[in-house]
Amino acid sequence: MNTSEYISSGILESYALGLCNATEAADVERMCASHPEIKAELEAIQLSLGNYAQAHSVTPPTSVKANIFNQIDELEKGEKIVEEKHQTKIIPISTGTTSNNTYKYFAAASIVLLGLSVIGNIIFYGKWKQANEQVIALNSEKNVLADGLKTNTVKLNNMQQSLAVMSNPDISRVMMKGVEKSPESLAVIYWNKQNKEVYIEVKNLPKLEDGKQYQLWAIVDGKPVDAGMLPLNDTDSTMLKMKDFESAQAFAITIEKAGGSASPTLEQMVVMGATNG
Amino acid sequence: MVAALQNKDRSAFNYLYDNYSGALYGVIKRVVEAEDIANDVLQEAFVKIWKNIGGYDSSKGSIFTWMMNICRNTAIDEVRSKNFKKEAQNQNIDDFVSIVDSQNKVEQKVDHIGLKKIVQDLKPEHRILIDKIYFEGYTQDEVSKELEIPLGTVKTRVRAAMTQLREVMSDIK
Repeated sequence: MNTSEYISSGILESYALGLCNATEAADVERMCASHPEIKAELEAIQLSLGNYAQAHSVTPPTSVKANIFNQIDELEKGEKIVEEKHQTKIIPISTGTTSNNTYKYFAAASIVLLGLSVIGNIIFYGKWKQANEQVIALNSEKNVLADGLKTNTVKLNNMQQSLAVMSNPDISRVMMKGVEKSPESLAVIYWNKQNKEVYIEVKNLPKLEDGKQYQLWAIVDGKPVDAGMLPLNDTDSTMLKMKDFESAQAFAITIEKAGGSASPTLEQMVVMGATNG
Repeated sequence: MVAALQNKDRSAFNYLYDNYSGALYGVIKRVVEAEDIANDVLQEAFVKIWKNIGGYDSSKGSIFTWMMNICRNTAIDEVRSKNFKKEAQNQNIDDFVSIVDSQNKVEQKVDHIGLKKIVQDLKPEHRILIDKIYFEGYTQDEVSKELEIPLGTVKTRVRAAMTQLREVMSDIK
């Protein structure tokens, strides 16, 4: 089919009227591309139809044109807004604002944690101090109790000793009563004549001045014999072991110089008691 | 002109509207009679033209042909949409009368006096075929059924109509 035959076939008119199917339309477009005279013919047909359409022109209301341009303006604004949105999304990433924000977030978090830690430390320090004070208080209390226990143990031992001495059936008791100078004073001799042991217990002896000490004497065959010194300042002692005696008619306590005397100062006698054998 | 449009030149688009909106509106009113809907279709079609101008290929035909296809397809889509069907169902006889009137007005509103005369020279049986096929997008088969003319006769008349159109239009030049 040559060019003029193709033109006169009516396919171009069908194409211009929109009556061609896709295959035919592609064929027409291909022919137009390769044959300028076919293209010119098609353009002439299209122009005729265009003029025909122009002949049926109806002027649209002026409001339509305004609406179209408004809508286009809004479309372009919308595109700009979309672009700006993209930019605002991109800029923070490229400038590292996001990572700065992350650092700020971590910094804020660490400050908060530091604050909490300091508060915690203050609270725990207070509690620790309190506990420490309690430990010290309990320690001293314990020491007091231990001292008390020690004292009581000593006292108990003494009392057990006293009890053992007193409950011994071989023991004889010698009461030494206060003389006129010290009527309140009292001393008791526990004397085991079997094993010659002598114990003494004193009560309410007058307090001594410095450099003085009580001394126990045994009167043996009419003569005073040193029976031992009482501990310094011991005016109210528990049972004390003194020197052994096989026989004695009486016992007496005198105030002597510290360390004792060879013979008693009789005018300084505090208590005295006679034995029954 | 096309390059300016593809660069989204507002004044080129303005020129396009001023020169072709009448012809395009005429085509749309052939398909969509109601004026408010025809206005919406014209607006929608021109916005489509603005959006899609980058896709126009001048080697495949004139810009008017391209624009006309957009307008006609938009109008046909509107006719097929549910909204239009509802409105069409609600139209009473008076509305149909007004449509006939407005169709008559289309004839009266032809602003190119020379063109109008030439169009008047076309045989009425040719004009109705061109109108149905070119303006309203009918196939020859549909025209055959609508006008109760045999398909062979439709095809013969379309060719004759186009030949006559070419002849009368060539007189203008």
